[in-house]
Formats: sequence, C-alpha cells, structure tokens
Amino acid sequence: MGAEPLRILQIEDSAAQARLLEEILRGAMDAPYELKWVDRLSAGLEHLEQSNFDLVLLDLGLPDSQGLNTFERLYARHPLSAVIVLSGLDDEGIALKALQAGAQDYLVKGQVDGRLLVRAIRYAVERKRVREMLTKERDLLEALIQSLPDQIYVKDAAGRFLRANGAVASFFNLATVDALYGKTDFDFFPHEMARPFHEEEQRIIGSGEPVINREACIADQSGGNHWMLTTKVPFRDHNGAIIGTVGINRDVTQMKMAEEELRRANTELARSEAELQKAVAELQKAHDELRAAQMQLVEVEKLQVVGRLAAGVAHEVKNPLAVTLRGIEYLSKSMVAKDEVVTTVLKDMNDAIRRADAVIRGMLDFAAPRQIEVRSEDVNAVIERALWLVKHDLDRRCITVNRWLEHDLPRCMIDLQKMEEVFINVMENAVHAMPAGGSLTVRTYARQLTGFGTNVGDSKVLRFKMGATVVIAEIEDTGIGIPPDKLSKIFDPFFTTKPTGQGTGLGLSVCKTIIELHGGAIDIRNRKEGGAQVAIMLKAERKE
Amino acid sequence: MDKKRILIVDDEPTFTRMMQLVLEQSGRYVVRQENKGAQALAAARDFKPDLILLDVVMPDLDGGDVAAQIEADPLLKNTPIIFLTALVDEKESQGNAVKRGGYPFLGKLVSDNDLFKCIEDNLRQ
Ligand SMILES: Nc1ncnc2c1ncn2[C@@H]1O[C@H](COP(=O)(O)OP(=O)(O)OP(=O)(O)O)[C@@H](O)[C@H]1O
Ligand SMILES: [Mg+2]
Repeated sequence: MGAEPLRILQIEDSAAQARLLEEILRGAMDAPYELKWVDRLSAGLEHLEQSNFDLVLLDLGLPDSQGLNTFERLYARHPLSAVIVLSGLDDEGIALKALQAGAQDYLVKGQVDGRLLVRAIRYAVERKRVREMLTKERDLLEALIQSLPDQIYVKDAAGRFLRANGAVASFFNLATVDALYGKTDFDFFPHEMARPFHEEEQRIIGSGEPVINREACIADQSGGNHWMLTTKVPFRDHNGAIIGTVGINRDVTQMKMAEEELRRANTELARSEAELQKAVAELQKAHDELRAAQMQLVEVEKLQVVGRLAAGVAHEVKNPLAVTLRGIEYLSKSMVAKDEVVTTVLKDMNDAIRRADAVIRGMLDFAAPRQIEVRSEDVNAVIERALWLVKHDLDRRCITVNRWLEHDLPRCMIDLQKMEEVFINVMENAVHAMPAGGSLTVRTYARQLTGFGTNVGDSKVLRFKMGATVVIAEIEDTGIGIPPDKLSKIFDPFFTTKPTGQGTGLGLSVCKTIIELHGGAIDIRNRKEGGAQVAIMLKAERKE
Repeated sequence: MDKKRILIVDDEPTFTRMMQLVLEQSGRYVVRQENKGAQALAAARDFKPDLILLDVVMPDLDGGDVAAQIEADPLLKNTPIIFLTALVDEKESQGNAVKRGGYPFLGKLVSDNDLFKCIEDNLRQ
C-alpha cells in the first residue's frame, strides 16, 4: 500500500454520525487516509464513478435508498469495492444478508469503537486487494481459456461439465457456456458415441493415466464431421485426489483436410505424371511403329525389286554356269590318261562354279519374297537339331557345347525349317569365329517384358508388347568377336569378313529376315569376356 | 540293251550341246537337242523319246506349255518329263527332283551323279 493514503468514502445521511465516525477514525488510524463524506447513495455512486476509493462505509438507511437494496445497488455498480455496512441495531438481519451478498463486514452504529473500526477497515481493504488480484488472475485465465480456439473443459467424476470455454459451447451450438454446466456428453451426443468418451474418462479417473492426442472423427450437432485431437488428464483436488477430468479438444479437420488434399494432389500429380509418361511412351511407340512400317514398306519395295533382279540374274547366270559345269564333267570323263594337272584344273573350275552358284542361291534366298509356315514348336528342340546338324563342324574344331536350356520353355509359333536355318547360320558363324576351338554356349529362357529398353533388338523390339512373354535364345562363343566398326554392318547382305569362297555374307541378313518374318528380333554383340553373343527373341505362343 | 532316247529342250544351244555330250558319253543314251519350245512337240513326235528334259523358261513357248502339249498327245502322253531349271534351289532338291505340279524339277547345276540317277529313276517308271 505504501505511502498512498487510504481513500475512504462514507455514505451517511446523518451529519452527526458522520462526524462521530470521523472522530473515531482520526483517533484510531495509524496510516494516512482521506475521508470523503456524502449523504446520499446517488452522490456516493457518482463519486465512485469518478474516482477510486479503497473502501466504502455504507449506511443502509439513506434518503434515496433503504435497507439491503442500498447495498445491492452499490454492489451491482461497483462489485470490486470493499464495502463495510453500517447498520442500526434493528436491521442487523439485513446487514447479515449484505455480508452474504458480498459486503466485507458490518458494524452496528453506536457500538463502533476505534480499534474495531480500524481492524475492520484493514481487513476489508486487504480482502479487497486479494479479491482484486484473484479476480484479475481469474479473468486472465478465463480470457486465456475463452480466447483459445481449442475446446477446454473440466468435468467432475460423473462426467458433468464444471467449466468450459466458448469453443465447447459453440461446438454444441449453445449460446453460452452456462448451458453446459451440469450436463454430460450423453446430453449432447448419441448414446453410442457418448459412451466411449465416458468410459475413457472413467478409465482416466480410475488409473490416473492421461490420454494424449487421441484422434477421432466426431459429428457435431448439425451432423458435420470433425477430426478431433483430444488430450484428457485427471483433474485433482488440492489433496491430489482425482475428482474429474480436464480435457482439450483441438479441431484438426482443416489440417486433416489439407493433409488429405495434399495427399490427393500428390497422387494426382503422380498419376498425371505417369499418364504423361505413358502418353509420351505411346507417342514414341506410335512414332517408332510408323517408322518401322515405313521402313518395312521401303524394305518390301526393295525386296520386290531385288527379288525380280535376283531371279533374272540367277537365270541368266545359272545357264552359262550349267553349260560350263556340264562341259567340265564331259572333259573330266573324256580324259584318256589321268593327267594330274588337268584333273586339278578341272576340279578348281568345278569348285568355282559351285561357289558362284552358292552366291546366286544366297541371293535368291535373301531376295525371294518369303513366306513362313508357322506351327507351335519347342525352341529347345529346334536348337538341339541345329546343334546336331553342326556337330561335325564342332567336333572337328574341338568346340565344347554348354547347354542351358530352360525346362518348360513356352512354345513358339515358328517355321521349323527356317528357324533351324537361322540357328545353323548363327552356330556356323560361331564355329568360324573359333578356328582354334573354344566353347559354344546355348541358353534359352522365357521372360515377361517389363518395359522398353531390353537389350534385345533395335526399334523392331517395339513389335513386342509390354507384358508379353518372349522366349530368348542366346548363342555365345569364345571366338574372335566382331570389330566394333563392323558391328553395324554384319546384318547387311553380302557383308563378310571371310576369305573369298568361305562366306557369302548373306547368313545373318537371311537370319534377320526370317526372324523378322516371325515378328521376332535378333541382335549380336561382343561379350566382355571375349567372343560374341547372338540373342534371338521370339514371341511366346499365347496360352489361351 | 537298247540305248534310251532322250529329247532335251532348252533355248540355250550350248547347254543342250553340253548335255548331249555328257549324256551320250555314258554310252547309255541317244540324245536329240531342240532349242525352240514351239518345235518341241514336233521334235518329240519325230524322235519318240523315252524321256524329255525340258527347260522351264524359254522365250517363245515355255516348259509348262510344252509339257501340256506332250500330255495332250495320245502317243506321247506317257513319256516322262523332267524339268530343268535355273531357278530351283539345289539345296532344296538335294539331288532328288522337287515335284511341282506332278513333275520332277532339277536344278541345272545338279551334279552329274544326281542327274543320271534322276533320269534312270524316271525311265524305270
Ligand atoms: N559369332 C561371330 N563372331 C565373330 N564374327 C562374326 C560372328 N558372327 C558373324 N560374324 C561376322 O559377321 C559377318 C557376317 O556374317 P554372315 O553370317 O552374315 O555372313 P558369313 O558368315 O560371312 O557368310 P555366310 O553365312 O553367308 O556363309 C561374318 O563374316 C563375320 O565377320
Ligand atoms: Mg554365316
């Protein structure tokens, strides 16, 4: 309180009484004070309006107000004032009521002595100060609780609301929080919803264990769904006994929705990205297919021209060759005495004719408009037969054969003879690449295409649909390999690195034509370990 | 044993000449050459061959037509015909004539062994 004088307002219609009190005060007060006297309630209220008083000494019987009403009017306007009621002996009952209604003390006129008065004043002022503080504290707390958007509530052991903030009231569509007090969840929620809440609170009360951040979807009065994050802790009295629960609900619906939205947006994004990629891939595929089709058209055109040309050339060349051949036969038979040199010359000529014939045959083979007759075949069996047919060559060069042929290989729709030709060609190439021996590895397996970019084939690989099952045959040798600058040429007709007479250079181009007629793909590459690997990919027969 | 008579029809005279030389060299056959498809029927009627070697592609009348004429002739219709062609793939035929439309086909570059074998087989029928 310090040096501030205590400000006292006396409301008393009797001037004598007022003066008497003043006398008593002057004799008894040990602290500085100011006393203001008015004789009417209205004047008193006016003063209270205008300035602060620490204490009001109030006579209940005033010209403008009588009895308890006097106190009530004053208290209603200035609830924080410390009021000491002065009453006559006759209205002690009323004074008591004033005490109950909030007055700090009452004194009976005529019985007031200095010591009593000073003590009453001091207590009243002190109580007023404490109450002011508490009120401030409470208001602060209340303001805090009320201003929080979270629902905050205190419930007793039976689940009745003791305190709550506006957020709770508005959740239940109530105008004020007062309407909540004494009610339970059962008054607001359907029974089946209220029960788990109630049971939860009973568990907390029973065990003292709080519930932290429980998430639940709760429907409000108007049926709107809210995601609530709830924390409930035990509410204890000053002895530590659990007498209820304190809870906080946070409405996280917005957050949830935002999260959900984000997740949706993300999946949407992922989907549209995937769709975009798919579209791009499809576009690419369409483009490649178009190109392939175009190339094929050109190819067909070329083949037809080449085919006609080849047939013409074959005819024109074969006739003279035939003449020569018959002539040589005639000469060799008409030799009277065996002449070694002549025999050799004739044999060389015969070989030359055979070679020329092989070139023509190869050319016809390559150029002839082809048709394949496909049947369901076991690729492993085709390979076995091809191996058997080249066995002689393999044995001669001491080439070992490793077989890795997958059991239960899906069957393929292929032209047995043509495909055998392909494998023989490829195997013979491998044999030629291993003049000093080595090993030939033949591997078959089936695979489901998972995407583009398989190591087999060029753009033609796009004939294969994603997800389709293909049979792959790999023929590996440990031979000399292919010079990298030749790799792009080896499928060209007449490309060969073999000495004249040993290769026509048509083998692989015929293989490629045959494979492509089957809708398959063939590719050749050098192996890291040395030697070459030919991979042939064929569509597996579809099991219906 | 009488020598068998073979008529060879091909537009290329050097070829028919060589064939004649080779076939007659064996001592088993008498050969007559004919270089015009259109004359083939007349030559056959005149020569009465036991077997006809017939080229497929000829400028005036091709082998198929000649064969049809021979078949239509009551006296010649049972005469065996072997087609000789530049276009048949020897690898395919492997010496045994490829049958096309009921006729055996031989490549012109057939080895003499295969040629003789094919002729003998067809003469026997
Ligand atoms: N396994 C292999 N290892 C090394 N080089 C190879 C292999 N396969 C093919 N080649 C190369 O590719 C060339 C072309 O092969 P291709 O089969 O088309 O013709 P070729 O074998 O030379 O003759 P042809 O097969 O007509 O008798 C070969 O001359 C060779 O140089
Ligand atoms: Mg080859």
